[in-house]
Amino acid sequence: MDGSQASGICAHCGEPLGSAALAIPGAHGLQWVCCAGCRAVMLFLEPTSEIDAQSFADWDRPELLAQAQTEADGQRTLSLAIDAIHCPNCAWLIERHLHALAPSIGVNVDVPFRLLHLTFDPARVRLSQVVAVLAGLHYPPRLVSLDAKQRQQHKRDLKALFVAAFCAMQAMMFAEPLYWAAPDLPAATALFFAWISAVITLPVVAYAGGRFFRGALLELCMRRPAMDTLISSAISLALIGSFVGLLQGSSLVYFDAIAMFVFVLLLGRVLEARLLAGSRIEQARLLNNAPALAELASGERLALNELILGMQLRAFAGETLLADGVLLSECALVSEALLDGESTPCGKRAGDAVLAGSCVQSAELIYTITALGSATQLAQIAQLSRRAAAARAPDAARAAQMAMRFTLLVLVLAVLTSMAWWLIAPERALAVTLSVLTVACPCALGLALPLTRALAHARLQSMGVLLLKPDALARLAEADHALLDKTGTLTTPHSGVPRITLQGAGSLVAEQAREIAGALEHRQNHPLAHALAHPSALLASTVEVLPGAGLRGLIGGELWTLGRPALFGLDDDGTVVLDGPRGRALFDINESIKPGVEHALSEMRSLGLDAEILSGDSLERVARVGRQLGISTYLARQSPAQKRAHVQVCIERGQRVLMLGDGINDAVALAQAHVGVSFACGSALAQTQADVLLLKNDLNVLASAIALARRSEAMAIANLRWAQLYNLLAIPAAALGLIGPGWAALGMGLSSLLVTANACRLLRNPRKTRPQQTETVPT
Amino acid sequence: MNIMLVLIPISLLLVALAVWAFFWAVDHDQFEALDRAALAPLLEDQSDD
Repeated sequence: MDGSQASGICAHCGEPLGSAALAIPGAHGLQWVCCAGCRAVMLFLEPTSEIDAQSFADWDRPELLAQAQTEADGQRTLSLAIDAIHCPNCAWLIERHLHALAPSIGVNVDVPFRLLHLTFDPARVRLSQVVAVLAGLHYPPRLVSLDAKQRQQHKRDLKALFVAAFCAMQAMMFAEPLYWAAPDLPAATALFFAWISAVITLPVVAYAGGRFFRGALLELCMRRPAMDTLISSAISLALIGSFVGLLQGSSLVYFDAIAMFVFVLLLGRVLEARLLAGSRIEQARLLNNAPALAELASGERLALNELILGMQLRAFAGETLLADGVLLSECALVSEALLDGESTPCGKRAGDAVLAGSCVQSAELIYTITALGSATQLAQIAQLSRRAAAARAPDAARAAQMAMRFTLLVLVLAVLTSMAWWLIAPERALAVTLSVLTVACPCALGLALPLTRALAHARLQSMGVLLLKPDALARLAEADHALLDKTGTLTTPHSGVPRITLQGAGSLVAEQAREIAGALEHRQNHPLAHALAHPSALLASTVEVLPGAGLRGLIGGELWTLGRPALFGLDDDGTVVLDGPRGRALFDINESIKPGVEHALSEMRSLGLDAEILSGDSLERVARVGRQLGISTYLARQSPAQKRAHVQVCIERGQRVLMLGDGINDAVALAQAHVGVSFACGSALAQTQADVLLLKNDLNVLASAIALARRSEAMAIANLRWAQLYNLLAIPAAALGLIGPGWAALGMGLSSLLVTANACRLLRNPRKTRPQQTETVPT
Repeated sequence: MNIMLVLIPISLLLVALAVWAFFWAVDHDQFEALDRAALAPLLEDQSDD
């Protein structure tokens, strides 16, 4: 193939190269194609892996490979998030190319979650080759950390569900003759059928129902008997009862009911677990898990564990500092917004301390390491938030408490009934106890609660709200006091570029204003100098500093003044004013309030949540935002530990605190609060500590999410009430021996149907009158 | 009714077989990429490359 551009024809189709021509790096130099379509076909025909692999050398570093799970046969498994995966064709393309690279690679593309699960032998295939192929196909991957146990758990769930469903059907089939043909069957045949259904029910209980017994054991160890205790005691009592009956030669057994019971409950559980796992995967995708590499001032790149104190590191604009240190560059602009809530980037001079976790805003800086790893302030905050999370009281939601009391009541009733019948008529004691348990069968509860939660999860996910902890829904519903972080939550932190408003009829344009201000601020040791620093071709002469934070100087023969509004007789609104013969410009270096926040706050107020600002920023800025949003209670200059202490104070006041924050400094408070809410664009630490994650940078969704959580909790309680009412009527009747097991089973089925139908109401849209604001806010 | 004594153990055997087959399928990732399955028959064999 003639690949030179000089020939002027497409290397693939032979058409003349037009304006859309593209170059492909090939084994024999660049090849030119006429369009993106030809490029795709060329890449498909000749993957360019070997050539590009060098630029992905970071993927071969041992510390990255260490994150892969090692299988028994020396193979490694690794998950990559690929945002560009869209449809099964993408999966096909990726699989085909990776197999062409090395047939031994195990490739598994998860299209819904846009994940690629790789199994490979590092001795035979280098990860950089794989990544080069993916990048060449325009599927740039990102290393994510997924809980490997989750996939295993999913497989176990599938197996358990299959065993329960399949064996329950068989058990029912063998029980059928006992129901319909019982009088005509010879006793021996009936007993045979009963034994067969016992045999087929045992794997259901032992294998598929195992999790209920383990859960019950856990609940009993924690002395908080709840659903699992009720379920497993009902299963085991019914099982023991049926076996005792069987050994006594009675064919009046309930093995089919037991198996069906286990299957239905398991279904609810698995549905709920699946949705929670999905939320966790979505959250894990958000974080890039590739180990960070530090660049030394000499240009060498090292892994974090290879760094030692005193090394000089270089960091570029947009990067996050990896260690605490002392600045060596003459001056630099770093944003500590995520670290301490400070909304304006701070100007640092040589010798100033810089902190791990802060983000570089100016072009490039060099610093000397003074603290590393667990000694950094960042690591100490992470440590503190882990401790807070561990200390948080386990939640006993109202629905769970009701279920617990109900459990105890039913168990006591069953025991009393069997004792009473044992005294009155021992031969009927077993049958009556069984029908009490069947009537009281918590099937409705066991199904209704997970189903309600699963539906709420699904709806929240579609709204862009991920629940990350199992009890997050109940906690969200209970919140009655909101503590809001300011920077990044209510406001968009200042980016380092001032917003410029021009005033008056002068000929001044924004770009000129920046240059003039930059010239005036050049080499000034002024707090605003950094924010307004701007490369300027202009030169200011005879610059004098005015008392009261201002500067005046001659630029091109014109006299320009720069300073606080007070200098010009204006109200101080935090802006900086530039004034001169050609007009006046206002530089707004304040953070801006996110659009939609006011509406969201009023929504939350109408849900009964009063808001309070808890910020690490200065009092002046916090007060201004508070005024603008109508929030009268606020605390400023809060350290992570102070934020946590304030959350604790609110909790002790009896408030159920919802903490909303995105910064590293919020992580401890998020872990401590009744429910912690963070943003997908926030810091990784805040995300891992939060119970709830908002995918969109929009507070309005939170108000809707709280409303939905409350509705779902109310529904769970309504379902519990219904189950209690039904039991209140049915248990005494069963205890008196009035209800046969057949009727009991019918009642149980109808009750389950009712609560399921009730739970499905959650799928309906609650408020049709008010259009929901769910647009993404441009940032 | 004696035929039951033969048929029922056979059906139990079949149940065991079905459970084994399903477990095998799950363990061999047959339920992992369900979106891909529909395309599989349309693809050429790998050996054709």
